[in-house]
Amino acid sequence: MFNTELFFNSVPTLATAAVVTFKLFVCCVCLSLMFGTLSVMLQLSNNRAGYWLSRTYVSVMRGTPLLVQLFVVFFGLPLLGIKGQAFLAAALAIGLNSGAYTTEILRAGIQNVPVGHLEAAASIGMSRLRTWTRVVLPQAFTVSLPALTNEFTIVLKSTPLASVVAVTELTYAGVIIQARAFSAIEVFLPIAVGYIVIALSFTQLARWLERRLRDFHT
Amino acid sequence: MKNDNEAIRAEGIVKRFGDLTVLRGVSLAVKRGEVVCIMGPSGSGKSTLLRCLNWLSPPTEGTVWLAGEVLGTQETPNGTRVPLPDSKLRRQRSRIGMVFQSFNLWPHRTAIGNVMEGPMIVSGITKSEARRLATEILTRVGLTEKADVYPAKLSGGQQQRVAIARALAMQPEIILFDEPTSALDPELVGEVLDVMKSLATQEITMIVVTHEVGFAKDAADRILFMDEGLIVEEGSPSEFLENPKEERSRQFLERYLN
Repeated sequence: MFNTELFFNSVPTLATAAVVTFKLFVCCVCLSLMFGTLSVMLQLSNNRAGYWLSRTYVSVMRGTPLLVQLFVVFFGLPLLGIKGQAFLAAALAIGLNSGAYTTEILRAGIQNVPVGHLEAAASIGMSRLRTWTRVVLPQAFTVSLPALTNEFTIVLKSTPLASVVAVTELTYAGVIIQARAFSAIEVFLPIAVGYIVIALSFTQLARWLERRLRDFHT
Repeated sequence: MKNDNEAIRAEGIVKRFGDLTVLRGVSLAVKRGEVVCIMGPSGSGKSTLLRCLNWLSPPTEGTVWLAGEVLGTQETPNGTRVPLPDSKLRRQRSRIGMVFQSFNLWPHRTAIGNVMEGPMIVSGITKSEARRLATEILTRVGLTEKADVYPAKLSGGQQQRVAIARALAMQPEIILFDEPTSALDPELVGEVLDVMKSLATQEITMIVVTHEVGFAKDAADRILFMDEGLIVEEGSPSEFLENPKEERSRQFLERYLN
């Protein structure tokens, strides 16, 4: 039997939790882009230490479970004097993890930029940093957009891991209700819908961006 | 080495890539306002020479002077030469324009965006000022109405004219052209050469690597002929094209004139 009352009573709690999930998702995506951009710039710069720092970062993040990384960050932050920041720990861990994948996605996009475009920048006297921000990254980002969209939908679905450090995001909120009511389907169906809504709005946004940037692809 | 009338001078340029020696000691001097065409068979080192002249590919040996100033290196107090710091090299490079065979326009910027980029980002003038300058220069290459079009929607000839405008926007002391019409369909070559000819009459110093004998004849003050990494002959267009001295030049011209 589908418990309609439970379903309707859960909606406000779940809506609040969905906002947390959404915020976490946005933070993770921003951090992932930040770490990924920084790391790929280090990796492709002529700096040996930077290169190895980036390679190590990518290997460690791709080679260890996200859950373990989350624990390391969550229990590591207090050692740096930052206590009781579960949301921050979750955002940081997932952002760092995804940043490694973003590094590699952007690397593929960057290596796609013809050398001639860099030479053209050099020939007018553009600095290395400006060449990155004005010539390389805008092109790499556009080319990488579909792969990045893919990566970030995975990020969205990694956010429930934040529940292990007691961030009451969408999935955890459902688990709490379900444990009290001994009913699952009335809770987890709307949760699934919640994720789809976030995912679809994100992918639609990405599609819109792609269309806008396509001008110069055709 | 100070000579007020000299735009660029190169002496003893040698360029090696591993075991391969592409340039074997090339020297040249180009006066302000002079138009010099470099001709020669493919693989003779013409493009490599141009890339040495703006330090995109620093020469293995030899020195380049830009208006009397040594390019790309500086002397330390104990007399050895070391590479110039990046910021100084950039400033020198901004004084040398370059037009590439494959245009190399930035595809994510419109025609005018490509032209504005240098003045705005490198010279640091305001956006509106850069737009005014870029509009003026696009008019000079006959592309006013294409200002807001992305490169992908332009023909090859139009793209190359935008690339010329981009080089001009930096108000360089000299512009290097690396086979600017070789990637173009035959019917588009004319519009690019016309723009270049008009520049030649405007006292802009140009070094042009080209196979276009007609352009060399009409626009060049001097032709250098390269083969196997050396300049083997040089002379005025009429001397060189009508009465080449070297056997290699003769063979080359026979192929291109017929």
